[in-house]
Amino acid sequence: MTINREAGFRSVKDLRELSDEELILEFQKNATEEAFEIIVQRYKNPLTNYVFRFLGDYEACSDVVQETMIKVFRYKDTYSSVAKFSTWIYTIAGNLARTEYRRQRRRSFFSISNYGEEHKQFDLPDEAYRPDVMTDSGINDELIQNALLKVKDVYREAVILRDIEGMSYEEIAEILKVNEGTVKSRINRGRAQLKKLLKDIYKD
Amino acid sequence: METNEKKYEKLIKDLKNLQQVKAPANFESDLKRRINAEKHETKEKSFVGKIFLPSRLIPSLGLATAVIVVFLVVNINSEEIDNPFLIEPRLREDIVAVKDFDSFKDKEDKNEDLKKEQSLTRGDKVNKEKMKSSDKHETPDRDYFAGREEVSETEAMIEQPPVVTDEGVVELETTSPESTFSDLSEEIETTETTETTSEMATGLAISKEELNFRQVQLSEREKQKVDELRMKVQSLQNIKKEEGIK
Repeated sequence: MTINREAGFRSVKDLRELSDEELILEFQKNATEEAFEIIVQRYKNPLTNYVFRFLGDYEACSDVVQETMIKVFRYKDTYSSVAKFSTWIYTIAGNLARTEYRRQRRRSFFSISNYGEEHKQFDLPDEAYRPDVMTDSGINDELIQNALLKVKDVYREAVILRDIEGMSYEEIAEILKVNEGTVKSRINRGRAQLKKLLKDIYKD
Repeated sequence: METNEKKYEKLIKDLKNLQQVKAPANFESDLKRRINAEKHETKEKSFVGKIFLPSRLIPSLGLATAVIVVFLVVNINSEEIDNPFLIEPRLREDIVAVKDFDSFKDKEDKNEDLKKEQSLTRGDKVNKEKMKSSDKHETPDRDYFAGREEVSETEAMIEQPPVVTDEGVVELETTSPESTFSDLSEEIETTETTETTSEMATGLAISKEELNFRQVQLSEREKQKVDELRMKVQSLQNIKKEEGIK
């Protein structure tokens, strides 16, 4: 497959060698859908992992990631090459994930408050967690995921981006729109909460 | 920071080793379908369709309704509605049955003339009264007639009381000034009691005390009859007087 470009023709193979920023530029200038497809291939799994760890709901997570990709497709021109592409796409995904999380919380609050006592705490069964994505140490994974969902959302997203996605403090600060100090403090608090929740595993 | 990372070393390691959650197999096909559906939707939306979008239609309709309501409210408020409690009641003067319109019209003209003259003479009267009050200490015994001698002819006519017949008819005697003065001694009692009637317009006007009377304009024949009756009464009175003297 060949793609029309300012300087001539470029194959999909050539496109695959391009960086994220170059691909989005290609998509912006020439509306090269193949460039967009490569971006989707590169980011669909990392974003799914990030959003799933944050929401704990696979169906909702899949929708959020698709919505993220649609936003990239629709608002490609709003991306400026000054920022890193990964930061931009994670920011979009994070915003959508937060919106979905709030929506889920509202929904669960109203569905619970219809039954029984108002102040009673309910543990919702996590039907979204899929056994097929569990590791050999699946029990630990499930425990960690459940504990992660109990951590305050602002700490949780910082911990996910740092310890699961392996991002730098600078990138996280840019994605969360806070300064690095706040990022570090949130990560520490998140870790502390997580350790407390998983005290049976981390006894020492 | 490093000490913190050492503190949570095991936790961080476990988090890093968590199984990567992968996107569903049909992710890309679903995404393409959704993007194409969106493209199709945006193409299909015509100009009219865009205008009548609920997100635009509802606020515009609301605005239009508000404008109409405000217009109606302002318009209703601008209308001047007469407060029935502030309207002066209609006087009985308005309800006048006129049989002989020509004679009535003549009388009305006369009345207007008399009113004008009355207003003029009133001014003089007021001046005279002022003078009188200033001279009161000098001439305390000055009687009513002394003042009245100076009254003009027209005033004499105005001050004539209306004749009230048994039929409830009110009529003004349009006699000459000479006759008025000649009968003045006889009528002095009535003039005194009906001082307020001098305020009335001649002929057709009704004082407030007499509002229960019906005001009717007499025909010539009726007038003649009334005159005859009056003459009879006067003759009877004269006879009685003569008998009394005897």
